[in-house]
Amino acid sequence: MEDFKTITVTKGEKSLEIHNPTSYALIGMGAQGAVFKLSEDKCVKIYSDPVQAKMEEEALKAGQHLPFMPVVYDKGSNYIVMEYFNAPTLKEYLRNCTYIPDSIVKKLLSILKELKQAKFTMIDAPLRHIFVVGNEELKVIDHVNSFKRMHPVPLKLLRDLKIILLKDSFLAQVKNLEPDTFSEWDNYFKQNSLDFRNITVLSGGSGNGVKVDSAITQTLIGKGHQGAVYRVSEEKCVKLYGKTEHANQEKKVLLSSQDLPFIPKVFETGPNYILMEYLLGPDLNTFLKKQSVLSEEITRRLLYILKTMEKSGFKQIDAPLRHIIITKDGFKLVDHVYSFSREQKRPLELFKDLRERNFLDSFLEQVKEIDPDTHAEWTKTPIPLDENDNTLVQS
Amino acid sequence: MHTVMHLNLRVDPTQYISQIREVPEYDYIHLIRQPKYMIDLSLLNEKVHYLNEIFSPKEYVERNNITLLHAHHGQLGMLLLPFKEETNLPLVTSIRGRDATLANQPIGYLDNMKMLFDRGDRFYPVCQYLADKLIAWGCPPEKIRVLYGGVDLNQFKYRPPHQRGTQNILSIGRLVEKKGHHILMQAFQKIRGKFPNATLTIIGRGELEENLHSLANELSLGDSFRLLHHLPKDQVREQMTHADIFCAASLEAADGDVEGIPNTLKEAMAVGVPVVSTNHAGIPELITNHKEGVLVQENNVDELAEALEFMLTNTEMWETYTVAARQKIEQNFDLVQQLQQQAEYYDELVAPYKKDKQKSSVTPHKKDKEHKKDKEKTKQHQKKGKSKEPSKKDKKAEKVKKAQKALIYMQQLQQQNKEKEKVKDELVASNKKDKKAKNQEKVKGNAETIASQRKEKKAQKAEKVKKALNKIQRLQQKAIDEQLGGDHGGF
Repeated sequence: MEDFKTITVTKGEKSLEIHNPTSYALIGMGAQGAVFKLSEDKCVKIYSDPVQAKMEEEALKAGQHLPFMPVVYDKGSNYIVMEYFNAPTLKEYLRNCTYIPDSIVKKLLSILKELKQAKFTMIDAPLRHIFVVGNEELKVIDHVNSFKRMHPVPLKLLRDLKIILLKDSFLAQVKNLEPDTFSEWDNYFKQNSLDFRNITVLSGGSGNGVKVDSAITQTLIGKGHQGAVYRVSEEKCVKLYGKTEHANQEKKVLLSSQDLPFIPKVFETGPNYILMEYLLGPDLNTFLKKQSVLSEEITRRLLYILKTMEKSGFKQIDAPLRHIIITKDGFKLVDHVYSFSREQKRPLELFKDLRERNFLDSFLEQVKEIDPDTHAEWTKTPIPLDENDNTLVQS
Repeated sequence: MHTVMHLNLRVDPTQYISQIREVPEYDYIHLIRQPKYMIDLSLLNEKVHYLNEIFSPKEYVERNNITLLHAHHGQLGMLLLPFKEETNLPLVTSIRGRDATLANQPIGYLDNMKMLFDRGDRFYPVCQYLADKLIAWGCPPEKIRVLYGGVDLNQFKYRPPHQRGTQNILSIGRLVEKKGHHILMQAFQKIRGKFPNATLTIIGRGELEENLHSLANELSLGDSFRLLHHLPKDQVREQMTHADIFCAASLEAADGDVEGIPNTLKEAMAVGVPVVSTNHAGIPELITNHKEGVLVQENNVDELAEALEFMLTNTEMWETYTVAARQKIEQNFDLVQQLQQQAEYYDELVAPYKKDKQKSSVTPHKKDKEHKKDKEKTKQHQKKGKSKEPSKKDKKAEKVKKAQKALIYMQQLQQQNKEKEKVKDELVASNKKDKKAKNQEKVKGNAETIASQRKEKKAQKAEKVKKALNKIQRLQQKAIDEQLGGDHGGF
């Protein structure tokens, strides 16, 4: 028999680095470790950090009496051999479901209750960590942070359910089945509602996203390197910055460009936040995924934005597809932190995004028709195929 | 004007846009689940909203003055249940085909449908066949109103059938099993010996494309067979106009997936192309064999081949079929009429809610509507300068009328239920005539009490009741097609 102990898992630059001389298949990988399938009913989780192995070992030990916990077969300083579930995750199980079945709601509530009784502080689990085995029995994996993180309310579960549009039917049933639990959660959300005027978002350091308080993730729209965006009301959202320098840069751009139709409206600013209009609609990348041809109207609208930015003195002339939101009031472009500071004459990221969607050629052809000068300008020197690639494309 | 919040799968041109945006006297919100389902820029306007972005249902409903919820698919109806609970608004769910089956459904589907039957206010299946399926699942019959999809008669204009000696057979529909393309291709192969110049064109795209291509090879159909990819609507219309025979070989798929009534079939009938189809699902509600076309047993190559041969041989009968077919469409599947019907079904729900709610915001609607109805009623008095406030008498008459209408519906439904227990054949055959007669009597009585109804109006009413009675509904095939598992995000 092969020895899984010859597998090494170490922290790499961006993700874990795995060296696997065995034939055991890698079946899952996260921030802390990697999981390999040993047999039809056993797998091994190998940790990059023995501290985390210990944390999970303790949680599994504390919860071995719970029916939804994986059985532990063996353990070492950096691994745990445990039960393997050859079953769909709850997310897969609920695929296409538009009203969460009451049987699942009851089972989830019972799991949360038992976690609480076992004194876990993380009364929560994301859908991908819950497996549905025979007889619709639920199993929960990944307990590394069970005694570390404080989730008195199932924040991840609710957030995941919201993404697949089942949060409302889940909560409606919780309200009926366990009114006390419902009001407990409700109170929690009320107490932890976002006070964006008095909050700090920590810069995650170079290369990392910002760190935000998980208690308010329910209204989190997105987060990136410079900040996190939260929905505040039906029509407003707030961008919170890790560094005031970034906030100031973006404020300057947005406030001086409020007359431009593609710039989001700003309602209020603070040292580390900007309160702005919440843009409703698909982003252009999502939209183009569903299109078989690039319509000329889209090219015209993009061209208008780029030319207007140029005329208005923007330094960074670019419009990444994911930053363009298609709203009822036209295209809007978000994320302007570097618009006035980074010099960039050609929309290279837009080119790259369009190429990914297979629309770059049609885009350039259409630009050539509509605005030959701009086309000539853009293609004077070849468009780089990829940031890290020296291969060039002739257009 | 009332505003209806419509939840449908996508913002795209094939998604029964008229049933959302063109219902007379009802304004709309075109809601979709998430922004990613907005896939047509030309249809984006300020009335396109996203369910997942609604912050507070109560505030949303108030701000947009919404008084009715309409989900255009069974699963979307379930999705709106929490919203309905929160806002206490009536919920209507359209049922279009697969949602009345267990074909490839998510976990808990049937239980959830039963819950929807219990909590939902109305169900609009697109044909009686689907209505019966719902009833068999336990949907209370009194909550069901059949709502057929209609054809835009201005777009699909009648021209007499060609008599030019060509034998071009056309079929349109997604390349999925229930469309029966494979059966049609086999039937076509059988008749090719006798009709060497005949051609078969299938327009559509879908998962079976590869299979159908290899089937064509196996059958050595050669140049006589064409499989065209999905075309723009106007080009499809053109293909239809140039076809000699239209065929919809619909059948129940192995997984139980069914049609309602294919919309393309209705369109072909409107245009004046002789049709050959099957006894599947709601199709017999549209076509009576040898009246508006030829119907054969579903999933039967021999019968279909015979029917095609019959059609190709008896060209002199084409016009008899197409005239009857056009008439059927004009009478029961006209888009304008069907939208009017939809508005009347809505009226049944929003009126009582207004009373219950006693909200100042709804009062103006009531006035509007009554005013409108008054206006209609008093058309006979022509331009008498009707005052703004309807007289009490008018109001009463209006109420009586509504009550009667409701009563008729109830009776029809009860009748329908009783008859269900009878042998199926009987139901199909005898029942129509009886019902028609009964209903016309009812309408008569109705008309008398209301006094001085115009003859024309009476006829119209009779027509409508007849419609309800026969439970003729329309189904927009394309809608179903696209909805039930098209390319993007279908269930």
